[in-house]
Amino acid sequence: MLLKLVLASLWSRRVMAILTCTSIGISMLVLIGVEHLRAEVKNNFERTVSGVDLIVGSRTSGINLLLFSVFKIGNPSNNIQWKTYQDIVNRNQVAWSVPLSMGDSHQGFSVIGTTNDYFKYFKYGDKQHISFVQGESFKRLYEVVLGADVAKSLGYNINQSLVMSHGTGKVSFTHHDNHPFRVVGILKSTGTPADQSLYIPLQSIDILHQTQHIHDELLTEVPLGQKYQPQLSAFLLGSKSKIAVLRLQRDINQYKQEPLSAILPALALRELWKIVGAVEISLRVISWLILATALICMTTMLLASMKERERELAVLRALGAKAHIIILLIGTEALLLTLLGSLAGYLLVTVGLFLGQPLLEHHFALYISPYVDLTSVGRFFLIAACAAILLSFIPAVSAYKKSLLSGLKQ
Amino acid sequence: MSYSLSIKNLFFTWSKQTEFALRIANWQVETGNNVFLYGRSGEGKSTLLNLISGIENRYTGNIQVLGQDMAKLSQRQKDTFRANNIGIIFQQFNLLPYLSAEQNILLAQRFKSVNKSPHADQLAAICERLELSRNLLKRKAIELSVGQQQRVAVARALFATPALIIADEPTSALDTQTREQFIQLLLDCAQTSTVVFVSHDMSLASHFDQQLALADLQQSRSEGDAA
Repeated sequence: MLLKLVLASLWSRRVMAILTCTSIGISMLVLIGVEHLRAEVKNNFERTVSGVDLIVGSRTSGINLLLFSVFKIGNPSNNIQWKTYQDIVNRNQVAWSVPLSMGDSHQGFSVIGTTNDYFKYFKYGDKQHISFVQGESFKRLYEVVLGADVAKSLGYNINQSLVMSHGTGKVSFTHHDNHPFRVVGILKSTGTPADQSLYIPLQSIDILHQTQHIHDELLTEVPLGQKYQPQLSAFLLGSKSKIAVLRLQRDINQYKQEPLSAILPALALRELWKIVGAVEISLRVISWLILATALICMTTMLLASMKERERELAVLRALGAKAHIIILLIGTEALLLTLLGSLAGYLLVTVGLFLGQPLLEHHFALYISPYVDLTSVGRFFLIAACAAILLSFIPAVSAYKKSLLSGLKQ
Repeated sequence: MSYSLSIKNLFFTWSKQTEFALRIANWQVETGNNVFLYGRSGEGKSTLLNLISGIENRYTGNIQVLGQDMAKLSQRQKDTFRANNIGIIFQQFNLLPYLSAEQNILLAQRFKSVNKSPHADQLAAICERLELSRNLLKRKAIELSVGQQQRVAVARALFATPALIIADEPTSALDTQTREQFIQLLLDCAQTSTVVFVSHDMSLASHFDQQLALADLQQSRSEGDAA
């Protein structure tokens, strides 16, 4: 009966009720949306690199090294000599290494010179290996492997011919036209910056910057360290034991022949996330403030409606409705408005994510799952519901305290 | 002899006023009696009904309703007492416009602390007597005519089978013929209850067991004082 009474009463004031639900819905949309985006971006961020024990570059800050070697943002402060690289990777503690050489691009996407070990050892997410959706890794000097986003954005396929440009900018006036590359493999999407790069053999980086044409050869015919001793931007290391990692890091940081920096990727990622953390907290605070504002608006609406409903409530009291009935009535009303509004907000977020997810992936290489974490949604619903019930006490008590007589006299 | 209503040395004044709005030395209504209380507008008829039903609480003296001293009840207890024992017919009917006629009738029963579940037979019987068809019961109160609203208000007051029914000028908006029919219907349906009916229209007085002017009631105080 109480629920029927609440529903009938709300229906009789449906315009105000719909507006209140909308305001709560929009605030819940912002709250759920921001929280979901935050969690997904953080998740994507933490998935960027895994299974790598150390990233080594020339002496620079940990964040800068992480930014240019993993996120392809910025440039290395210096290059690493091939001899230095060989000296470090030949140490007992080192299990594997992946050299990286950057500085060229193709249509705004960075070109990375590396070895086939990149596809073998570089991992992302929960130590997932990079895999090929088409083709295979390079075997010859003029072969290129494309990241998933590169292939998708530029519409490239296997056997496509392309040339690299000098520099990392979107627009370049120097193209390495005399060294065309053939696409031999396309990587499966990882949802990391690895999708936005082109991978060529490390030997080819040297060739790109030579004016005379060099014939295409099998990589096995031109092993690294002999004819080609390229300079490196950074390299990734895997150690034989976890205990050795810190010692290896210290040794590299104190390497006398060349100033180097070695970072633990997980720690550097966390450090980098802390910079974004302030924005994250601000976003969360703003979202909660929006929800609080919507709930206060709802309370104000209920309080304002008390004046117009004074007679209705007085009649109920005259017929014998006790305090708890009046409080329950208004509390249920507030709860219903909040839950309906919250549900609308949740549905809007889900629909928005389903519609917007391909756009986010296409334009920002951000894979945002359209499936919102129901535990956190449930938590928000619970908090909003509790707040609504608590806030509804204000109009409810005010309504009960209002003289019965003044209501009936209206 | 038992009394449904007993008032002794009642003094009531509106706040910030020194003059008494109501002064009743002694008034008793026997159980089962129908009382017609008349008086001029503004004389305090509605105030007296509000005091009896526990809606107005600022008074001195003693008001006993169905043997219960109203002053001894908390507000919560007064609400329960009203729900269990008193049926009120308001001057403006006070139906909830967004509920159907049937829901309005059942409303009072829901607030009772005893016999909360309505009996379909009882509802059907009372609706039949008040000529409230099934079709009409399903309609929203706001869609009903004044006469239909009045009958629904009576049904609401009687349905919970209260021991005391108080009616505050429920006929003021009706024409003479409808007024007569309404009174007859009310008294027929409320045969087991005590009725206190307030009006300024003396033409209705003949329908009731007892007729009383509020001015006389207030006079009895002066006489009492003089004695």
